[in-house]
Formats: sequence, structure tokens, C-alpha cells
Amino acid sequence: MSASPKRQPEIPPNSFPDDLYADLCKREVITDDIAGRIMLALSTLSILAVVLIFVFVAKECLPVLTGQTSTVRSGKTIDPETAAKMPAEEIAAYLQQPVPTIRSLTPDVLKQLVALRNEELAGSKNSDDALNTTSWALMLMPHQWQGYSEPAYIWQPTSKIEKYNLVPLFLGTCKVAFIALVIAVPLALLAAIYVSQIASVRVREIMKPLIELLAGVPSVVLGFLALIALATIFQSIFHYEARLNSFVAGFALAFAVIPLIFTVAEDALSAVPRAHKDAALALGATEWECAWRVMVPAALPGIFAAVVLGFGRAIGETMVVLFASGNSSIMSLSPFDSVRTITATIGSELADAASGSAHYQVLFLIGGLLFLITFTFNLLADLAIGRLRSRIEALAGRETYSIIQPKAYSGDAAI
Amino acid sequence: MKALPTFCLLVAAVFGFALSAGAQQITLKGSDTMVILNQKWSEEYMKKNPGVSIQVTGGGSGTGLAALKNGTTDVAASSRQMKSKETQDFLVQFGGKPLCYEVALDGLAVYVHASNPVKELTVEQVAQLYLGKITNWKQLGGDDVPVVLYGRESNSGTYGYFKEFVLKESDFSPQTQTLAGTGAVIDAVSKDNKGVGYGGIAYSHHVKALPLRFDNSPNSVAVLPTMENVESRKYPLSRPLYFYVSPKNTRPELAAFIRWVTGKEGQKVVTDVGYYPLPGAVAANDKDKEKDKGKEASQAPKPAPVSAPVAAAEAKPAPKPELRPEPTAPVAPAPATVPAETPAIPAQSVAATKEERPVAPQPAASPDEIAALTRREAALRNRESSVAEREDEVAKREAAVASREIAMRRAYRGR
Repeated sequence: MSASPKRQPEIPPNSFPDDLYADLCKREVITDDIAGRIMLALSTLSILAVVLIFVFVAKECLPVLTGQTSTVRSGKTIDPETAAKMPAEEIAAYLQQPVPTIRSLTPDVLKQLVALRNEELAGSKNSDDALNTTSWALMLMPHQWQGYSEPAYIWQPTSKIEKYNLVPLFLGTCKVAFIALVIAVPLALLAAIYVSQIASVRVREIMKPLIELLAGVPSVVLGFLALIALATIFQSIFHYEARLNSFVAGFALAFAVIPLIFTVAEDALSAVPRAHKDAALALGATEWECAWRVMVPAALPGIFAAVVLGFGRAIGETMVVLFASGNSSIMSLSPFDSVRTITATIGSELADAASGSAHYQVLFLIGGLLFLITFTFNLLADLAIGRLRSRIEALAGRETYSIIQPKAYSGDAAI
Repeated sequence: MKALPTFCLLVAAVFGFALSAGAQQITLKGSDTMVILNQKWSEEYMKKNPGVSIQVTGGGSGTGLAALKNGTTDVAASSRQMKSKETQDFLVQFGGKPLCYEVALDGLAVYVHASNPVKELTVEQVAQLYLGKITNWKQLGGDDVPVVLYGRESNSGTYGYFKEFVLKESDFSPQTQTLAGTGAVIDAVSKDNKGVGYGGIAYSHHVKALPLRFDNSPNSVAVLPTMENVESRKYPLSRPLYFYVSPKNTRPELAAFIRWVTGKEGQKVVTDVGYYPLPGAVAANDKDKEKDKGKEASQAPKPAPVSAPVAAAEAKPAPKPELRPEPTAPVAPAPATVPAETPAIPAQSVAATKEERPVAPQPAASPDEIAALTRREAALRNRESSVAEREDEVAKREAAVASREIAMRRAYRGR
């Protein structure tokens, strides 16, 4: 409404009636306004959803994080006959159930419950009964459990004495992600450089969509392929012991990561201004020299971002590792040993962990830690990219580019 | 205007159908070992009772029992008994223990690669393998190659049974590779000449099931998990497969389904799939009695002296026909009482049979065993031929569709 008087002079006075013009302006403003508000609401909602997810995960793992969860079993038992007369708090602690639930039960059910609990505890006579296995010391340091010959990092959450050592899972996750990146990064970057700089237009038109098509392959299909075909082929080549191991999983994972790194890196390389390439070629550089020494350095922040995104995908991928890694939680640095990753552990164990139990909370804890790892990496990468970009820009400003084309550089090379 | 009433009618019909389908729906979730059996049961049952729709899902016994507790499934299929902790949670939720029905028998087979020269194992040796104490096949009289262990995820009932009765609640070796599903274990073992795995007997394709014996004493004989050996509990790892149902779930179609499964027709399906039918239809909700039976399976009565078998063989078939409840027997009119009533009678009769039937030792490959094996082979062949028939049908239908398409195209071109 306020826009109409301002704009009026620009319009020839007799083109159409004033009130109609005002109407049009009004409608335009209202629709824009509504669209803007809807977008604002939607983006706020998505941010809210992210926050809610964090709150949910944090809430579930908070008791473990603060050391309030306990798996200690005391030796004493309660007589089922007298259970109904005892204070509800004591019974609740014994049965590991919330107090209000216990209050709501009939004496008969309570009697059965106590009898069952007695039976459950009677089976375990173990020197480790008095340990709280969800304490940080036992989750991070090796411990000599009963029945083991030496201190070890053990993840056995369904054992009589639940063992929650997180170290093998973290090691496994890092190992698989590392192998995947070692395979995927060189391949994807070389492909990106070739497609964006050296290949002819026709080859590019074919290759780019084909590599990007790989991103459309569901990870469960990749996992199945690794389980059935890759494992057998690699074993016949390398003759290692474990058929399913971190190498097979990492290799299959590389196929999930390659299209991601390729796409982002290729976009970054294509975004470098054409003038750079022309200048280098005019100075007598070959195509390869031009790509390697001019274009790649100019696109470095984008390429770095591509690798970081690839790392995030590799560390968070579930189905491929669930199928192809063998899922044995052992401490070993050999790429040909089986591994158990954090994501596969959550994927396979969360379904049967009773909600609220120590196992359930620990699974949420490792999920939260996984998020922390990727978050830290993304943050560090962001900082590194920022510094890299300002350094390159400074370099470019001081030297040749500022003379040829002072404005073209500012920010185009970013992703 | 004519279209409107037709449309209304259509909508009403669709809704009516959906409602009627909803009322008669049974969900069946749990054990991966039992998935093929459950599917076959539901298929056959739905063919006979078109009004009922049965939804079958796997996921593992633990997952099924958790779903039963959460009220998201009508029946939980389980290849192990409910743990004390699970029963406690169920009691708190529903104020009663779940009803337990034995629905079939299974021999938990220990599988090796077809080329593995090892002839037989004791249960103790199997335990040593999975505890990581025996690491080379040479120690068991095989080739000088390391052992690669394959096992199941912790939500599997097979995992639970194995841990309880073979490992005596000790931890699996961390080297054990855990795979999703018995099928995956068998596939891995069939491709790995160093591998060993365990799983239900119905899965034994392209791998060798090893004969097992209780211990090294001279009167214990290594036997294969054939029907006779499993039914008589002479095979050390004989186990029942269970259905668990909530005591509050008194829908008549559910009771009818379970009666059909434990009855003659349902048990015929069991044989077709490759598991073993119940010696008498058993339904018991008395958990203690079940537990005793489990112990009997693991600790195992020593086979009787060699002079006994003749009498035993004569005595054995006698009690069977009496025990099997008549499928035509009058159905109790009040649906609520059916699940509660059925267990009472057969539970006692089973205990009775246990005493009546002495265990007869047999040589490793008796005529009985061969007969059982041929029967199994015939069953498998039957299955194959039915698959072929279905494939034919599909091909025919495809041809019909193709010809119709051609006709349509011609008509279109004619226009």
C-alpha cells in the first residue's frame, strides 16, 4: 500500500486507472508477504526439529553421561511373600522399575515380579557383580573381566555382566572411514579434475551424469553387493582370513562416498572463472599443467569441503558396514580384520534394547558421540576453508589476477 | 451425475473391505529362524480362511518379544524362551505372564564348509570354538587352517539359545563375526572353507551339518539333527520354537490360528518347510516346566544301555496319536477361555510322555535316519516343484499381458 504513491510518477499517467494499479500493488505485496512468512515459519520449524533431535538424544543418554545409571547387583534378595508390605521405593530399586509403576501394581503381580527377579539374580554369581559397567573408567579403559585371561576392551552388552567398552567401536568406525576415504578421495578428485578441465564436452556430457548416477544406488544394495560378491573376490585375491572385514566394507563404502566428493569438487572446479584457464593456456601451459597448478589451487576450498562431506558420509553410513564389515568388536589395526562400527551397532542393537535400560542409554550415548565427532570435523573444516580462502584471495589480490580481472575472483571459486 | 452414486458405492466398498480386513488381521513378528515357517503358515492359513490376513515380519526373537510388550504385535515368534527380565517387563505392562505355545521343533545345527574334513564334534568342542579357545581346525583333526567364526546378532533367539546352552552364558569370542539372519551365516560358511556357523536345520543348503555328541563318554554317539534325534532329544541342541501371546489378547481368530498351527495341518506345514513337528501338540504357559525341559535338553540324559532300543522303539510311537488333539474336536465357544484352557491339558501329558519314552541310542547312520533324510529330500523337492509351477504361472500371465498390449497398440494404430 505504501509502495503505490512512491512508484506512481514512474508510470505514464494514462496507461491504466490509478485504483487498479493500487490494487495490483496491494495484491503483490500481500502474496509476497505471505510467501515470506511461510518460508520463515518452515525454516524455523526445521531448525526447531534439529534442536529437538539433539534434546531427545541428549535426554536419553544424560543418565550415563552424568554417571547416574548403575548396573551394580547387590547380593541380597527379597522374600516374595513379604514384598507387598515393604516400602515401594525399596521394591522399585530392587526391581529396577520406576516407583509409580510399582505403586500401581497389585500385590499378586508384585509377588510374581519379585520371584522372577530373585530367579534372575540367583543365576549370576560373579566377581564383577559389584561393578558399575556404565562408569566412564570401564567404558574407556581395558578391564580384566571374569573368565578373561587379560585386561581387554570388550563390547558385550547382552552378556550377564554387561560390558560397554566404547573403544573398539570408535576404532572400527575410524578404520572403515579411513579406508573408504583413502580409496575414494584420489579417485573422485581425479575424476572431477578430468571431467571439469580436460575431457571434451561430449565425454563430459556422458561421464558426469554416469558418476552422479552412482549416488542414486541405495546403500543397502552396495552392502549386499559387498557381502555376496566383493568379499569372495577379494578373498581369492588377497587370501586373508576373515571373509568380511574392514577392507571390504571400506571399499564398498568408497562407492557411496565417490559420487558425493566428485559432485562437490567438480562444481568447485567449474566455478573457477574461465579467465584463469585462458590466461594459463595463453602463457603456454599444457592442459594438465593448467588444471593442476592453476585451477586446483583456485578451487582448493571447495575441494576441501568435498572431502569433509565425504568423511561425514563415510562415518555415518550404516547399511554397508552392517552387511560387509563382519561386526566383530575387536581391537586391531589390520585392515583385513573384522570391525564393528558405531552405526552398525546402533542399527542392530537398538531394536531389542528395552527403552530406558542401560544398554539403550549407552546406544544413545554413542550416537551422540558420533554426532559430536562429525560436528567437530565440520567445524574445523569450516575454519580451515575460511582461512584457505582468505589466503588464496590475498595471494590473488597481490599478484597477477588483480591486474587482469580484479573483481572476478571475489568468491566465485567457493562452492 | 450418474457417476456420483457409483463413486459412493465404490468408496463404501473399499472402506468396508478395509474395515473387515482390519478386524481379521493378525500380526506375527519375531524370530528370523522361523520367518520361512511363519510365512508358509500364514500363506496356508489365509488360503483356507480368506477373511483373515496375517502379517509376518522377522527381526529376531528379541525384537518380536519387545513388540509383544509394546503391543505392536499379536504373536511373538521366538526361538528361545522369554528371559526373566523380559517377563518382568511384560508383567509390569500387562499384569500377567504371556502365554507360551510350542509350535515346532528345531535342531540347532553346527555348519561347516562342505570340504571341511572334520567328522563330528562334542558340545564342549563347539563351545571351545566360539569362546576362542580353539583357533585352528588342526586341533579338531581338520586341516591346518585358522577357524573363522560366524554368528548371529544379539537380538536373535538363536544367539540367545546358543549362548545359554552351548556357551553356558560365557561371552562369545570377540572374533565372532555377527551377521544379520541365518541365511547370511549359511551363505558365508558356504563360501569360506575355514568357517563355522550355527543355525536352524531348515537352512542347510550347500554346507555340511556336523553330527554332534554330548561329551566324550563312550556311550554318547554323535548324531545328525534328524527328526528322530531331535524329537527324542538325542541330538544335543534340540530346541522347541515358540509363539508368545498376551493373556489380554482374546480375539477368537487368534485362538483359531494358534489351534490350527499346533494342529494336524499346521504341523504338516512344519514338515514341508524342513523343521520337525511336535511329538504331541504342546501348549504350555507354565514357564518353570518349560525351563526344566530346556535343562534336560542341554544336560541331556545319558543314552540308555544298548539292550534297551527294541522295547523303546516299540514303545515310542504308541503315545503319539492319543496326544495329538483332534483337529475336529469341538471348539470351546468362549474365545477368551481357549488359550487359557488349551495349555493345561497337553502340558501334563507332555511331562507324562517324557517319562514313558526311554531314549534309544542309535548308530551314526541308522536306517531310520536315512529314511528321515530321504523324507526331507522329498519335501525339498516338493517345494522346488511348487516354485517351478508358480514360475510357469507368472510366465503365462506375462505372456497374456504382452499379447493384450500388442492388441491395444494395434487398435490404437488402426484409429
